[in-house]
Amino acid sequence: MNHTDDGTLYGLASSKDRRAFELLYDRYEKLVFSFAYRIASDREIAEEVVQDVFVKIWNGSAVYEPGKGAFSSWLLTVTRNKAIDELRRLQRHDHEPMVEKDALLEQPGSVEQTAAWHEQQAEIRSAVLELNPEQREIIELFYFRGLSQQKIADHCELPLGTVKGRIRLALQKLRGTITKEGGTSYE
Amino acid sequence: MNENCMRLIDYFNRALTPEETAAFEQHLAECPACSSELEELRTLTEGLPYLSEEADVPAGLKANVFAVIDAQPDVHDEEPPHQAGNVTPLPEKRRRPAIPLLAAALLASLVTNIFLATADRSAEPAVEQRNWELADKAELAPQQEGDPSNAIALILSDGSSRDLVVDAENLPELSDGELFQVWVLDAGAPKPAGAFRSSGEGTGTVSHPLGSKFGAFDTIAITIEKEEGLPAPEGPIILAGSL
Ligand SMILES: [Zn+2]
Repeated sequence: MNHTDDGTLYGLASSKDRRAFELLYDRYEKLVFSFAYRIASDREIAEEVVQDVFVKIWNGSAVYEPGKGAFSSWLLTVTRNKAIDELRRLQRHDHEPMVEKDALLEQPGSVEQTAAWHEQQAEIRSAVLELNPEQREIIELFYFRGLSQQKIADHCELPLGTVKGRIRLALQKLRGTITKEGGTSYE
Repeated sequence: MNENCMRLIDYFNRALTPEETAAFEQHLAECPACSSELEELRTLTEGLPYLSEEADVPAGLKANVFAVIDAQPDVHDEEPPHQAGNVTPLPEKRRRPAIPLLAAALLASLVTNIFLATADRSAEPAVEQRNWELADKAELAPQQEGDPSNAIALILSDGSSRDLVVDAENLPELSDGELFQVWVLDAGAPKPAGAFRSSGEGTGTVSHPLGSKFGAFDTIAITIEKEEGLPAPEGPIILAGSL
């Protein structure tokens, strides 16, 4: 069962197969935690996010629809949503974001990461290098900080109406330099 | 292009109020530009989580998560399974085409497998074949002014037993440990008839067997409770309606 694809495990887990659920948990615990931590910069919040996301999957209040893309992409979206909601609930968003210069560029992680994650990361990281600093910053503020359009405009000193266009442009450029499409998946 | 088109980024980043969110979702259905831009944002950001550095997972995290899971009430199991063939309950998770579609489909032909056909695209175990008929229905209306919640309650009968199916949308957000409890009542005391939690989008569906202890009732209500299956409601009434 260790090599069973995500979709199958999810199907089993959603009919309360605990073993399948546990395999899915083990497969994604680290990625979900790391991503939540990347957004929240707070281990406690990241723990809460992991707990919330997996409990919701188990009790059926977060539902993956196989027709709508990879399980991993869905899981990471749910993770981001919860992490952003938590941040906003704690009102950390009301403070001027402390964005380190080039937060999007970080040191390569350890080799312990799952191979797929590591591979994907190397690819995106090299694509990030192709962006200019303003593009890196706007992706950081938009995607990882989850800031409102107004806050992004303030922070980047851009007219409100141009924020969406700048975000799209930066993302498109990033994507354009990534050859392989799609999220990591075991499917 | 209208003012909603300006809200795509804030929608994606969950910075809208619940009212604005509802309005934007309505707008999405009508604005091809916004819906394709939203899809584009989702696709373009798909790889970004993998930029995250590997963090050390706290040692007790898995144990905590599984402790919570083991403590979860199985919201569908408070009644013993009924004899005439146990129907896979409509879990909260199968709700997307929400009320109108589900209700219309149920009204139209009422074959058990409709549940699968309309609402479930995942590979669930097949539902046992039983022919349901709609015995009664009620629309539940919000009990607080300005609350956008609504729900439909259907009583389905296969000749020997009855099930109550409740499908709700725009539900208020629950706090940790809370759940929505369905009640049926007549002149007498209310009886709990199924509990559920809502999805992130505030929708939820539950089906509950109506054993002989239920007798006749004419009113259905939904409250927020800390515990399922209480002898009497303790929390606020969110929705109610009559058959
Ligand atoms: Zn629009």
